[in-house]
Amino acid sequence: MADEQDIQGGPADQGGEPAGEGVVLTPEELFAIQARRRNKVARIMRKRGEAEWPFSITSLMDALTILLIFLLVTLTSDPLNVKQDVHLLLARSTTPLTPEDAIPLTIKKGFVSLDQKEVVRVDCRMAGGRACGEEQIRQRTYCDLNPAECSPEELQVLKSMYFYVDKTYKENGDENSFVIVPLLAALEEKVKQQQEENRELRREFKGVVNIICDRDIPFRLVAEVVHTAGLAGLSNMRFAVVRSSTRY
Amino acid sequence: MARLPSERKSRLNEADVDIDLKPIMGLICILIPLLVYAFSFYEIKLQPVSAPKIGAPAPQEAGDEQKKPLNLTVLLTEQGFAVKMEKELTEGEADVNIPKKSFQTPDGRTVTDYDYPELYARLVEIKKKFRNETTINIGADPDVTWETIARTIDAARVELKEEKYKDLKSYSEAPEATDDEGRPRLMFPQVVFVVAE
Repeated sequence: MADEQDIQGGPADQGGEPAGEGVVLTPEELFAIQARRRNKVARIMRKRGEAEWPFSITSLMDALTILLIFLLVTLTSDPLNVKQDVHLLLARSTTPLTPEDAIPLTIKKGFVSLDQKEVVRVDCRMAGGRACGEEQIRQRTYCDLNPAECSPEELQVLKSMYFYVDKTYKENGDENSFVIVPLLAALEEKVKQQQEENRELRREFKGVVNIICDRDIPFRLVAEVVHTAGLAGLSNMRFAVVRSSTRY
Repeated sequence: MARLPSERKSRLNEADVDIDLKPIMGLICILIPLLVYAFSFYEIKLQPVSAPKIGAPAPQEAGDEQKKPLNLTVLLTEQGFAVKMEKELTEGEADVNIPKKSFQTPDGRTVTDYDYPELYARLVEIKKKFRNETTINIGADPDVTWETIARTIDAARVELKEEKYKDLKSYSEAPEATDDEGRPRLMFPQVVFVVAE
């Protein structure tokens, strides 16, 4: 109502009496009124001792809100949501298959986790049988990413790292077994839960598992995890890789 | 519409009451870096693999002679690749061994690694002979890393523009061959892990 009054009655802003109804202003007059109003607001703010904002914050807010929503939507819609770090560097591949929602199984340097919950510890030993520490794992990741900055001897020592699941976690405590017992129990529970959910939603259970595997994990451990998942009824396995345009 | 002078005094305040957006701005400015930190700037894709076969293959039933699979198997050992196939289908052709080789990597280093270009060339030859075969078994020594397996799967998955590549660089950067509809020409997309027990 106040704005309407201003447009129709220009003299009111000059401190005069309002004009009669039906007065139409030209764009120049309208601009002059808006400029006077801005000056008036600035005068009041100066009187209050507040500094005047040099720009409008509203448009910046709009841009940031859009950015915030974009980031939230992208993050929540990613079925894998892999965060690479010292203990998890993905292998690179040219495969074009896009991720779908499935049970996430992660094999890191340190532990195997199912749906973000740690299930089995992964140990590490180096040439000569001594256990490798956190600092050596960090160094290996660094040398993997920057091979030119590590000496060939250091690379050779770090390459001798071998990641494995201790035999106490395996079937009958047998080192040669391919069944990781705690992982099998966790997977069976997860499969049961998913089957029930799918039954309620009248969807087909596809038995798909997304395996997010560190690139330095040896084939033996990968085969053990894959075999255990197969025993739990998960026959379709998909390994997460970073899409690359080259093959080496 | 005329106003009383007493009403005019509070008019400006009514019209110019704005929400103070500065605290909300502060909150958003904290949230955005947090989300950017959690955001992955790389494209994640999936490599399908079937559950491993353990031990010796199941015996063939009578009458299955014609359906005998090629059993194309690539083994990764300390020495290099070993490519094996069903002897009956390949007329007794010997297994192919592809030893490791020294390469100049695309970033200029010299490394001794598996000979992926040669493996690709061999697999192209096999695919030419057995057009309907799509399965490849991949096995490896226990300490071969997943990264090496992933590169081997890449060499077997899809046909490239050329049948042979002379060096690692040209193989690494080679474009995929496509069919008339623009889809990549697949070689052995079905990967099965094999493990010797």
